Amino acid sequence: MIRTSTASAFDRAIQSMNSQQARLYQLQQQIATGEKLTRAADDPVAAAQATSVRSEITRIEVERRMVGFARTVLQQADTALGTSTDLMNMARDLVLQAGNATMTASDRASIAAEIRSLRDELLAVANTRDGSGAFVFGGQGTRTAPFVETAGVVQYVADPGSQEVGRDVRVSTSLDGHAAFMSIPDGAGGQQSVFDVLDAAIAALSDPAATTADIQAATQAAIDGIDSGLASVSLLRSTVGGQLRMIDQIESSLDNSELDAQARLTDIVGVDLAAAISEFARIHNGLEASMQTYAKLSTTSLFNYIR
Amino acid sequence: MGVLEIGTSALRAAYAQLQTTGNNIANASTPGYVRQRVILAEATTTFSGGGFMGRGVDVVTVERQYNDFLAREVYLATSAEAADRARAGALGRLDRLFADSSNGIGAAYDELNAAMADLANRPFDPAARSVLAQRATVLAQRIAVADSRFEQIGADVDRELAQQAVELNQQLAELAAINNRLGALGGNPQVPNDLLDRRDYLIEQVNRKVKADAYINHDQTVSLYAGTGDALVLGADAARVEIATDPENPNVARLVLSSNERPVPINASMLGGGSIAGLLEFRNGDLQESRWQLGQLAGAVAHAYNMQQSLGLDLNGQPGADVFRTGAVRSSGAASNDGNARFTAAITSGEQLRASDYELRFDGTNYEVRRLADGATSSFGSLPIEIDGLEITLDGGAVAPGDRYTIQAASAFAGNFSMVLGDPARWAAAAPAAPKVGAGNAGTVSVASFGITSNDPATAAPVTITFTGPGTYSVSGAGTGDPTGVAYAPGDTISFNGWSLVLDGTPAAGDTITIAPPADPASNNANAAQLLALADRGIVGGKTVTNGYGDLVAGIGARAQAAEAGERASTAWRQSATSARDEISGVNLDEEAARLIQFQQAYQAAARVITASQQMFDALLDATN
Repeated sequence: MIRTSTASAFDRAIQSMNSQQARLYQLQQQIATGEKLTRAADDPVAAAQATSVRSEITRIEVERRMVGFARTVLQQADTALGTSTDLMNMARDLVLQAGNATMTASDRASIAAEIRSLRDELLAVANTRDGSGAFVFGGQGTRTAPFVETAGVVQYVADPGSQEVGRDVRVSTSLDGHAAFMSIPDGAGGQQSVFDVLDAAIAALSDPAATTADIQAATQAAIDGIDSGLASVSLLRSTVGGQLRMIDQIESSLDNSELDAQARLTDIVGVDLAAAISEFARIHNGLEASMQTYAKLSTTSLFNYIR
Repeated sequence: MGVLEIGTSALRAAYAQLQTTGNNIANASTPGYVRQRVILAEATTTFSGGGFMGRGVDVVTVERQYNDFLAREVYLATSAEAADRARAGALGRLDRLFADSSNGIGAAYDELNAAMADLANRPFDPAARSVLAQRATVLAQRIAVADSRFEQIGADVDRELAQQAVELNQQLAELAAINNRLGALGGNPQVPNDLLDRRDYLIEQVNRKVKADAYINHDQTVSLYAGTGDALVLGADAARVEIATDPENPNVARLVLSSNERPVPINASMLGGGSIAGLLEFRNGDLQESRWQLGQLAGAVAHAYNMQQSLGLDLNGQPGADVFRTGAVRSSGAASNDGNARFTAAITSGEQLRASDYELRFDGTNYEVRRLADGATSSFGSLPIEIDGLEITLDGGAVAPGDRYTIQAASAFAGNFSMVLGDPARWAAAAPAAPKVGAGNAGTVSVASFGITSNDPATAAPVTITFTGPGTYSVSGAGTGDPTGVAYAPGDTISFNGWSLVLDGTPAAGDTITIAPPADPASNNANAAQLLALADRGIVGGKTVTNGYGDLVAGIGARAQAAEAGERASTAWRQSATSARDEISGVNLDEEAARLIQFQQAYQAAARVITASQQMFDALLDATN
C-alpha cells in the first residue's frame, strides 16, 4: 500500500511549480533579449564559439579600417601619379618645341623657364602628404619630406621601398618614391632622377651659347629621360591601380566574412523564437494546470466532512 | 468488576490512540517528525472454570513508524545532493562573473588590437599611441579584476565553509548530548520518541554538511563516522571540525578533525558528500584550475608582448620596454621543512606555460618537481630548474634534504597584472633595421619579407649583402663574420644579427641589399605589424589569446553545466528517497482523520461499557434494596 505524507505532497507540488516558474522566467528572458545564451553554463561549447566569432567580427572591422586607410593613401597616390604624368608630358612637349630649329636663344630661355616651373610643381606633387601628416611617396616611412632639394639637386632621403599593412593580403600605406621618380637610367649604367633630367634640359636650353648640335643632343637626352620617367611613373601607377582593385576585393570579402560571422553568431547565440514561444506556452499551460490541481487537492480533506 | 475493568482499559487505550492521533496531526509538518502508532495487546486472560475470560486491552508502547534502510538512503542522497548543490551554486556564481562578453577580457583584447592596427597605420601618430596605451591598461585591469574576483569568491567560500563548520560542530555536539541521554536510559526499551526523532533529524542535517555513516546501537545511541572512517560522534563524545588553510599551500583549504587526540587533516576527496565536500571540491579544484588558466593566459600575454616590444624601437629610438607586468611567483614551505628556502620563477617561454602550480621536493641530491594540475613529475640535478616555460630560481634561504615547497606559478601571474609602459611614446612600433634594395641593381631582386627574430647587439649594424652571381653572395658588416661565396637559391632565408630576410626575384652579379637602421625610425611600422600579428599567433599554449580566453569561459561554463546536471540527478534521488521514507514515516492527514473517527467511536463504545457496568451495579443495588 502506498501512503502519501501530506507534508511531502505539498512540498512536491511547491517544488514542481517552482521549477516550472524558473524555466518560464528563463524563457521570458531569452525571448526578450533574443539570445539563448545568458551564461556559459547554458551551452559551454556555443559560448566558446561565440567568443571566437565575436572576436573575428572585431578583427574584420580592424582589417576594414586598415585597408580603408590604405585606400585613401593609394587614391591620393593615383591622383599624384596622374598629375605627374601630365606635368612630364607637358615638359616633354616643351622640350620638343625647343628643339625646333626656328627657335631663338631667347625663345628657348622662356621655354626653359616654363619647364622650370613644371619641374617645381612635380617636386611638390612628389612630396604629397596624406591626411595623417605622412608622405604618400615616403618609402618605408618618413615624417619629413622625402624629396629634398640641396644645392639645386633633388635627393630622396627616405628609405626606398614601401610600408605595408594587412593580415593576409598586404597593401601599401606609403609608396616607393625612389622607384617612381629617382630610378631613370642615365645612359652610363647609373641612375638619375626625373628632376636631374629636367634640370639638365633647363640648363642646356638656358645656355645662350649652345650650338644647334648641343640643343639637339640635349633635347634628345631629355626626351629619352622623360620617357623613362613616364614609364616608371606609369609602372607604379599600375601597381597602385592593382592594389586599389585588390582593396575592393578585400573589402567585399570582408563584407562576406562579416555577414557569415554575424549569421554564425545568430546561429550560436540567437534564440529560436518559434521554439521558445511554443515551449513558453506549453510550460505556462502546465503551470496553470499544476496550480489548479494543487488548489483542488489542497481543499480535499476528510476533515471537511467531520461535523 | 470485570466489565468495569475492561471498559476502563478500553477507554485508556482509545484515549492513548486519540492522543497519538492528535500528536500526529499536530506534527504533520514538523521536520524530522516520525508518525507514531499505539501498539495494543490483549490483556492476560483469567480462568473462570467456564473457560478463559478476556480482561481487556493493554497499551504496550507508542511505536515510531520508521524503516532504518529507507532512512539511510535519505542520508546518502542528502549528502550527495548537498555536495552537488554547493558546488553548482558556487560554479554558477563564477559562471555569471564571466558571462558578460562585452565587458570581458576578450572584448578588451579585441579593442587593444584595433588600436594596434591604428599604430601600424601611422606609427608616429600620438593619438594612436595614447589610445593604444589606454586599451592596454584596460586589458591589464580586466585581467587583474578577474583574478581578484577569483580571490574574492575563494574568500567567500572560505567564510561559508567556516560557517558550516560552526553549524556542524553544534549538530555533532547535540548528537553527543542525545547519545548521553539515551545511554543513561541503560537500554530500557521504552525510549522517548521525540529524542529519536531529533537524533535522526540531526543525522540528516550532519549529512547535509559532510557525508556521515550512522550506526544505531542497541541502546539507540548513534555512532557517526565521516567518509574517511574518522569518528564524528562516538557515545557522548563529538569530534570538532575546523576549516584551515593548508600550511603547505595557501591556495588550498582543508578540513581538520580534532577529537580527543591531535588534529587530523581530512582528505577532501574522501569526504564523499555534503556541502563542505562540495565547497572544498570547488575551492581546491574548479576555482583553482580556472584561476590557473587565467594565470597562464596572463603570463603568456605579458611574455609575448614584452618580448615583441624588446625587438623593436620606440619613438625615442630606444629598445622597447615591457608593456605588461605579471604578479610575482612565490613559494611556501611545508611546516616540516628544515630549510628556509624561498623560490621564485621567471617566464622564459610564454607559449610553453601550463595552467598549474608546482610542488618542489629536495631529497638531498635531486629536486623533484610535480606539476599540481596533472601530477606529472620531473627530476632535476641542480638549480635553476627549467620547466614548462619557467625558470625556477632560489630567491633566498637554503634548501635542506626532505624539504617540500609549493611554487605558486600560474596562480600568481594574473594577480596585480598591470600595464607598465607609461609614456605612449614607448610603444616600439619600429624595427631597429630595415632592408634596402640597392639603387643600381640590375637584377629583379626585391624584399619578400624581413623580420627581427631575436635580440642581438648587432641587429642595427649596417650590413651589405652583395650578390656575386644569381647563386652566390657575400656579406659584409659588424657581427656577420663577413662570409663570402655563400650559396643562394631562390626563397632561401638569409639570417644574420637577429634578423632574417627572404627575397623575391632573381639577383644579378653586383646587386646589393643593405640592412641598416630605418631613415626615420618614428615612421617605421614593422614592429607594430608584428605586435598586431600576435593576435593571430598561438601564444597561449598553442592557442590564440581569444581562443585561450574562450576556453577559460567555456571551461567554467562546462563545469557549471556538469555540476547542475549532477545536482538535478542527486536532487531527484533525494526526493525519491525522501518520498519512500515518508510513505512510511510521514503523516497523512486524511488517514489521521479517519483514525480520529475510529478512535472516537472506540472511546464512546468504551464509555458505554463503563455506563453499562454502572447500570448493572445500580440494578444489583436496586434488587438488594
